[in-house]
Parts: sequence; structure tokens; C-alpha cells
Amino acid sequence: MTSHSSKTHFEAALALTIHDVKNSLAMFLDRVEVIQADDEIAGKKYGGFKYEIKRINNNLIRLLALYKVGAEDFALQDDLHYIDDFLTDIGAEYAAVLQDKNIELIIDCQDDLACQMDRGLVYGVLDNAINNAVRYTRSKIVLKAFEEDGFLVISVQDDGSGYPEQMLEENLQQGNRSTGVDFSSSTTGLGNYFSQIVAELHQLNGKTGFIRMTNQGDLKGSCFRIYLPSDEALHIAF
Amino acid sequence: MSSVDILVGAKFRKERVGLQASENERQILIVDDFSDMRLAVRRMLRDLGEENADFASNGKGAIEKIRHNAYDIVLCDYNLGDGKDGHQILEEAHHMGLIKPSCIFIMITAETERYRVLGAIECQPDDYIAKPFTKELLQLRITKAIKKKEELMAIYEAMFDKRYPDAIKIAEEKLLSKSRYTLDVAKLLGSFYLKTERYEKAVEFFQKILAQKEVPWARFGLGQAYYHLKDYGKAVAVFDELIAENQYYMEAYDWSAKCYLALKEKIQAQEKLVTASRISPKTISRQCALGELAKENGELDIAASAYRSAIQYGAHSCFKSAKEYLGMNEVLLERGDTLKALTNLKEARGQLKESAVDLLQVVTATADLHAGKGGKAEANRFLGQAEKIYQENQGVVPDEASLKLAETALTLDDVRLGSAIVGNLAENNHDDEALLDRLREVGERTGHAGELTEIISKSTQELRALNKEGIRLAESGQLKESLELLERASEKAPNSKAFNLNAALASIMLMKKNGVDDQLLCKARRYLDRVERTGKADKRHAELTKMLKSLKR
Repeated sequence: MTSHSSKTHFEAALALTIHDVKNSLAMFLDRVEVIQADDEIAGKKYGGFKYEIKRINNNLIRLLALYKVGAEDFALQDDLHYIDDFLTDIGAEYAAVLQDKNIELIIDCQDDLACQMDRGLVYGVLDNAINNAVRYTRSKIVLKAFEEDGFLVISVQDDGSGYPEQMLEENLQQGNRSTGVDFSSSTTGLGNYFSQIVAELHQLNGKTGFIRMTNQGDLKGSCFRIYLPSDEALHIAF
Repeated sequence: MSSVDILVGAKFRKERVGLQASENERQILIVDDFSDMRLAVRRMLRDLGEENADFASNGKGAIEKIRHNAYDIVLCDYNLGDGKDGHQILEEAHHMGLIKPSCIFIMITAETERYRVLGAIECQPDDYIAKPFTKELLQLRITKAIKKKEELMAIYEAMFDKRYPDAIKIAEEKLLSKSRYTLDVAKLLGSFYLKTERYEKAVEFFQKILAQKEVPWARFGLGQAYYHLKDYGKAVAVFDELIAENQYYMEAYDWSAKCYLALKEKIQAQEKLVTASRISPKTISRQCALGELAKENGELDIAASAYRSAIQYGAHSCFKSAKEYLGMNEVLLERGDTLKALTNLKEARGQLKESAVDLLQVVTATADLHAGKGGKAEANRFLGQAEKIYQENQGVVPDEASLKLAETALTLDDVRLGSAIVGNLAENNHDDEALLDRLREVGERTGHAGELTEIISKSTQELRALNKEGIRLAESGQLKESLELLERASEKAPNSKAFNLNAALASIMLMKKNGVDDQLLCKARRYLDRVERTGKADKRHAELTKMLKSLKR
């Protein structure tokens, strides 16, 4: 077997596996919904399952995305997307999880904000950030998008106790380093590594995307931001 | 513009009945090969207040359901196991005109990006949704799709009725004001410029977009326009660049191959199609094109395998035709495998029995095959069958198929049938010198040159005179007399493009002069329909159709 065909085989196996696991997750989600509809007490007990399903799915998406990004023939599938559409989609996907956990989600975005991006990859990044926020927040998550100095910024903030100091330091160091990030120690590291790669894949007019993690958001908890290079001229004039 | 605060979570529950707000109950079709999944989706729809859900588990079932029900929403899984995939279902349903413009087709995929098929614009789903999804997301996506449909409905309707000039007008107006559908409208408008053969306008339009931003569909449209303007060098560069950027842009391979073919670089053309068929083997038209090309290039193995795939995937598709079987037939004959060729044609007769035109071609080829190996009795038996199909389907048999049948008949020395068909073809194409030449060549090849030359000149002479007289009468203002004469001619040669178009024109001119009249309206429509049915509709046909539509009572 040549190396080319073994790669193709692996890709096919990966695609089929993901298809199958996703079917299972969909069924799992369906069962949990049925239990919740039938029995409120049991529903509360099993509510956490939906969150776990989202986590498994997020891991799967991230793994596939990392595999693709590393492939020789990788091409960014970027296109113009309206950010409010994008964020309300994410909100709808999390609606049930948030209800189970009694968390309020606020989406703050003007309806004419648009950005050139690979929707699938950026989705993976935000999904990861929201997954973390759901775990650590007390009562509230804010998903906010705005423009700043030629970048489109999407932030995920919560009112939890924020990132641990050590992590922020590591992140700062890694941000200054152009080469690989060490994620061998934790999946949080893996998530950050992935987010950084996705941000850096977005380039426009000499600007490169990046991520920032601080504890200085409006809600005083953790604040994750992805900066995507943006341009007024994205809207085509006819 | 004001900032929007969208509360998600608690508020979503309150809005849950939102979907049902529509006055009518929606008819929804769920297509998935996995029964638990179908039930799960139905349960979600019920939670959203939608009770009318139908099921299909595979492509064939889905097409049957869509044929008999005008669904408002189709939720279709892309990956349906071994049969058709979701995109093929959509493509076939569109091809058969089964998807009304207001229908919302949402493709469900395991992983969104990979499956985005960059195909014909009318065959694209309204949205994609990735598994696993929540009912809240399903609701949101359907709501958004409905909003977009409503916004662009006038364009979709014009496109569905093939009223492209109207569609262009609406789209151009819409582009004047900015909205979030601006790019969708632009994409449609570009495709309309191509459809109406306004290639220079299309080049200008796509270039204007590309000067501002790299947009793959605009680049693809630009390549198509270059191709039609016969600038093959520029066109091929465009398509190859698109492929280099996205190896899944299947249509770019097809067009690249078309360009190489126009540039007479058949090997490159073949290579493009081989690569494309490896990535996406289920497209029948591509496999047929590859088979034909490989056969011409002497690559019989590649040709045979392409035709085999076309036959295999065509078996359950509305896109099956005589083409792949006849291609396979030629490959097998070239290899000297008569036995396999006979089996192939037999299979074709079974598969294509519903389509007279395809069946005719296969039966003709079967007669040929028997004649070639000296089985005169068998050959004549099939010739008889072919004649019967030909007689029963006059008016819809394409000239190409008639010509083949005439040649077979003359080869078997059935001069009666052969010359009848040739006479008929000559009458119906009295102004098409290329075709008349081909008829004369048939005469030479079959040793009946003398008879055919006579028939051809006799059949064309009379009609030439009629046509001339008809035009003279019209030009001198005797419209009524002109129409009567052209009508007589068109009854004599019902497939003649010239007579039908001239008769339609005379009817329209009469109405312009004397006012609209139901009988004349019917006549004009019938003549135009005849031209369309024989596959000869051209620019003039389109102009007359437009004139007819614009007649005011």
C-alpha cells in the first residue's frame, strides 16, 4: 500500500467513524429528551448528559479539524458570514444545555456585522470556549461580537472565578512564541492550541488572527477572545 | 443600526410555538436510512408543533414521495448508505421539476464542510445542518430559510418558470439595496446572464465581483463565460486554478475537460475526468463523457470502466439513458466481444423500456449487431421492433436516432423504411445543409446513394418553395395568407424548426396587427412547443416565446 492510499483509507475510516458516532450522539440526545419530557425529576438527574454530548461532539469536531488542517491539501473554506446568524445558531445549539444548568446566555451583536471566515473552524473554537464557560460559570455567559482596529472580535465571557493565574501566564508565553504549543498535559491546552491554529489561519491584508485569554471581562470571570482580521471592503458593491 | 440583545435559554422555550405560527399545516418529508433517526427528527418536529411528517428511507422512496406530495420542507440525510446520496435526490427531483420554488430543502450531514457540493445553483439545498442537532437549532434554521425564501421568492418563481429575463430584472433591482442576501442574489443573477447567453455581460459582472473579492462561484462563472466566448485558454486557467484551490469542486473538472477538448488536448481532458470520477464516481453524465473520450483516445479499459460505472449508478436514476449502453456496446465491439455486447444491449432493453427514444436507439444497435455478425433474420426482427417504436413516437425521436435507424434499415436493404425515414428527415430539415450532407453520406455507405439523392432533393424542393412563398407573403403584408401556407408546410414537416418558427411568427404578427385571439394564441404556442419538444429550441425560439408572452389583450 502506498502512503497516499493509506492516507485516503484513514480519511475514509475517520469520516465513517465520525458519521457513526454522530448518529449515536443524536440518538443519545433524543433519548435524554424523551426522559426529560416524561419525568421532570429524572430529567433534572439526566440533564448533565446533554452537556457531555456537546463535549464529545466538540472533541470529535476538533480532532477532525486538526487532522484536516495538518493535511497537505488543506484549504481554508472561508466565506462571508453574518455574525449574528452564526452566534444565534450557537445559542440555539446550547439552549437545552443552558436550561438544564440554569445558565443565562446573552448574545450581543449588531445585525450588520459580517466577517470572512471558515465557519466550521471558528465554530469549533467558540464551541470549545463555551463548553469551558458552561463548566465554570456561576449564572451567566455573554457572547459578544464587535469590531476593533481592523479585527472582528468574538468574545465568550462568564461570571465564574476566571482562568487560573498559571494558565494565563502560560498562555502569555505561548502567545509570544511562534512555534508549537505544549498540550501534552491537558485537554484545556489542546483546546487553546486548536484555537490558536484556527485564528492564525485567518489572514487578510498582512494581518493575522489571534486569541486572547484574560480575566478582565465585564463579568469579572474568564474572557476568551478570538480576533479575526476584517475589512470594510468585504461587502461587495454592485 | 441598533444593537440586539438576544436572550437564549429560558426565552427559547417561550418562543417554541413559533414555527407553527404559519396559517397552514406544513407537509414535511424526513429522509434517513436509519429508522431511529427518522423518529427522533419527527419527535423534534412535534415539539415544534409540526405534526405532518412523512418518511423515506432511501433515494428511491424519497423521489416517489416527493413525486406525489408537494412538501413544504424536506429534511434529507446526505449519507444514505449504498444507494443515492442526498445531493443526488435533490438533483433528480429538480430535474423532474418536483421541487416547487417555495420548498425548503435542508441537507443533514455528519460534517458540514466536506459535503458542500458546488453544483448547479438550482440544485443546491437551502441549508445544511450538522448532526447531532437540537430542536432549537432545527427551528432556527427552518425559520431563517423561510425568511430567505420569502425575501427572494419572486426570483425563485421566475427561475422555476424559466422566465429568465424577468428573473434578471428582479435580481438587478434587488442588488441596488444592500441586504444580507446580496451575495445570494448576485450568484443567481450571474447564473441568469449565462443562461440567457449574455456572456459579455457575465464577464463584466463576475469581474466586477472578483476585483473586490475572491469568490469561487464568481470565478467559476467567469470561466464558463470565457468558454462560451470561445476563449478556451483563459477559461481552462480559471477552472484549473479553482481545482487547485478546492479539490472537491467537481464541476470545475468537467469544465476544465470541456476546455481541453475544445483545445484538442484530449489526453489532458481525459485526465481531468479520471480524477473527478475517482473523487465522485456517481455522476452519470461525467462517466459517459469520460467513456467517450477514453474510447477516442484508444484507452478501452478506462472507457469500459467509465461506462460500467455509468450503467451501475444509472440503474436507479432518472438520468439513465441509451448513451452509456451504446458507449459500452462500441467498446465491447472494438474488443471483439460480441457475446458480452449482446448481453449489454439486452440489459439496456430491460432498463430503458420506459423511455421510447432510448429504447429505439438500443433496439437499432441490436439490429446492427446481429447484421454485423451475419444474423440476418434476427437483425430484421429487431429492425421491425425499431420501426414500430419509430412510428409510434414520430415527433419526439431526435434526428440522430432517426438517422441511425435509416442507416441500419438501408444496410439490411430495407429500402422502403430507409428512404421513408430519410425523406422525413429531409422534409423536416430542408434548410440544414450539414444534416442533408450526412443523409447523402448514409446513401453512399449503404450503396443506396442514387435513391437517397433523389428523395432528398424531392423532399426539400417543395418545402423550400413553400417557405419562400410564405416569407414573400408575410413581407408583402398578406399575413393571413402567409400563415395558411406555413401551416400547411408545418403539417407536412411537423418537426421542421424553420416552419414552426415561421408559423409562430406569422401568428404573432397577425395578433399584433389585429389584436390577441385565443385560436391564434394556441397555434403560436403549439408551434413553439413543437420546436422545444424536438430539442431544437434556440435564440430565435426564445425571442418568439418572449414576444408571445408580451402580447397584450
